[in-house]
Amino acid sequence: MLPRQRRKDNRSRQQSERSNGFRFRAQLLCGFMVLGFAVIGLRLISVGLIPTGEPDISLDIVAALPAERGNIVDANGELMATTLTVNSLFADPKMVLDIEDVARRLPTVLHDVSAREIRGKLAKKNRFVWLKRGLTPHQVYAVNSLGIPGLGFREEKRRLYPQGSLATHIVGRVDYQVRGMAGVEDAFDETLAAGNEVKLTVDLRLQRALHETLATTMQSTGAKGVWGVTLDAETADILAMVSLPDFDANNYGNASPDKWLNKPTGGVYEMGSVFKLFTMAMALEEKNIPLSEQFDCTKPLSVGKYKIHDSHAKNSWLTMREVFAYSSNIGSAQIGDMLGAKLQQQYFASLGLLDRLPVGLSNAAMPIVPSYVRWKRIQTMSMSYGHGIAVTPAQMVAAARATMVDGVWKQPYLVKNAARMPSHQVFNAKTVASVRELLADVVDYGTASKARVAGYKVGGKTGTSEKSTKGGYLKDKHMASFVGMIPLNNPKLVTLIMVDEGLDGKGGGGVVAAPAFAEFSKKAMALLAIAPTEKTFEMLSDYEQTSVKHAQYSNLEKANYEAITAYFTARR
Amino acid sequence: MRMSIGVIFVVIIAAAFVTMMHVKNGVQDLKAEKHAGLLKRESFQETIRVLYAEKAYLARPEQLQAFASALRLQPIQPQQVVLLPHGVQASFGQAN
Repeated sequence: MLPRQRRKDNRSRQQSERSNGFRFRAQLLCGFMVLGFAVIGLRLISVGLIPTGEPDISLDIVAALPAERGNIVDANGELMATTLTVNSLFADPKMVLDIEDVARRLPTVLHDVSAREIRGKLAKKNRFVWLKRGLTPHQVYAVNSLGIPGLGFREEKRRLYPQGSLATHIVGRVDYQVRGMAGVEDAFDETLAAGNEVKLTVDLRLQRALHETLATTMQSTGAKGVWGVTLDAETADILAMVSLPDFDANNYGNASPDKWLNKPTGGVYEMGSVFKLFTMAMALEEKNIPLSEQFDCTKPLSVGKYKIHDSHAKNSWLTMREVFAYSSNIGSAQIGDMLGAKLQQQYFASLGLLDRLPVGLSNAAMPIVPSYVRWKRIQTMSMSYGHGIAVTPAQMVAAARATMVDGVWKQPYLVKNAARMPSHQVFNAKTVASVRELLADVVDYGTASKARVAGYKVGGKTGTSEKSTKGGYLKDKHMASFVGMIPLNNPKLVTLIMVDEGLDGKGGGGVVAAPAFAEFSKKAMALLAIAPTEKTFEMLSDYEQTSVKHAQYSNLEKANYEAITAYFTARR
Repeated sequence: MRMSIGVIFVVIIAAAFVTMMHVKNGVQDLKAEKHAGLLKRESFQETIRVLYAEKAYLARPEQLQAFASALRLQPIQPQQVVLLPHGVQASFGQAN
């Protein structure tokens, strides 16, 4: 082979090898690029089309914010407590040019901040002082209009109670860090703090009716305090609960601490004769005593060193229904004695009178009852007419509801759809029917004539107890009460009203508490649109009423009273 | 040939980058829009809360009673409540 030819071949081979090398590298590069684009393409598809489930940053920010404290609303959704953002006014004293100018001008728009207070705060060496917290939008505008340098606003969360003092003891209050301190705010703090709404069983219309009635009673009787609870007769839901004196929930700091206590759940009281209701029901249930059974009430009953008297002494033998209607302690004590301590304990326990009863508020007082060891004969007799045992009004009204309405004890509660203690049967239907007869007697011709409501049959029981101190009972300081239901034949409401030292301490249940019950019930029946079904005493003419009253004054008993009332109502 | 392949690659890469940037910007805009929407929602919710509270304050029973007194309106009396015959009640129930 010629050398030229050989060189040419060598060159050609080298070119071919170089070409092969280049192709290989190009293919490699292509491969990488295809792979790269494939990755990018796949990523685009995954980002654009396939939901990744990765958390959204902006949503994270929103979720990270603390939840707004939930509202408290009544049974009809009316607002009782809410949280709003408010502006609070602060000052940087070093930036304030003229303290006197601020002290002079600021009180003209913030009337509850004094010039002296402002001077004091601005004289401090701090760089930050609060001048007033929780301003209204109008006040913010007014302060801005002053154009004072060195003042500023900071947004804060504030709990507001639009109903003011109407349900102050129910909603309760929060502290400066918006944590529950009392009432539903405290009992349902976790639920509210998580942003959930709490719906109450309370009906603000009935709450207002009860509040207004009790305020009038307190004013007219000069009582130290008046309180009441109304239950739905069927469910035991608390529809209204008022404790007077009260205070504006938005301004609890200015209220004296003695007003903070919600007496219906936080106070324990000797209920007096309203307890006879349970004694009668127990006797009817356990001993099947006929209502015509007679008891010797001719003279005070002596038990050891104690003597039991009657406040409305008849000094005669009384039937069981008369014992109840005339509220005879002597007769009740005999019935209690007949039942015995063990039975009484069992029934009181079954009626929820011996243990703390929570109703959805943070304060549920413990009842004061004698220990089982000290529950002797005299205690049994005195407790049969409501002395020697102190329970909360909420316990009392729950036990009364069971005895008067359906014989089933149900836990009264303030919050809808909350878990409650299990209900249980205490009295049978026959006992309940007999109890209702007794309750009607009390209103028709017994101690509670002032509890009558025109157009409705009412049943109830009065109670008057002497207040106790460390040294014993105060003869001239009475706690008056009335527990009743309306309408008697188809109960809708069960209400307990208590009056503390009404009429200079002399007011009894029939005089001060029963009229309040009647007044409230009248309003409630109209609000709940429950039509009157009875031709009652109040619907008779003046002449007819006088005749009926004459029959009562003539000491004619129930049969005569009923006959005369029936005569007049039939004539109409 | 090498030149044209190289140009195509560069163009494709540039196009991919532009597209990616465009998509990214779009996503950022949408996120900002969503965030603004959430803040607006918060603001509306606060306004609703204020109005709700104001309504509750103005319509509290005590206030309404004062207005009613000023207008000489009387509360409903029980005697004004009547029971309709059963048939009429039933037809009301159906109508509702």
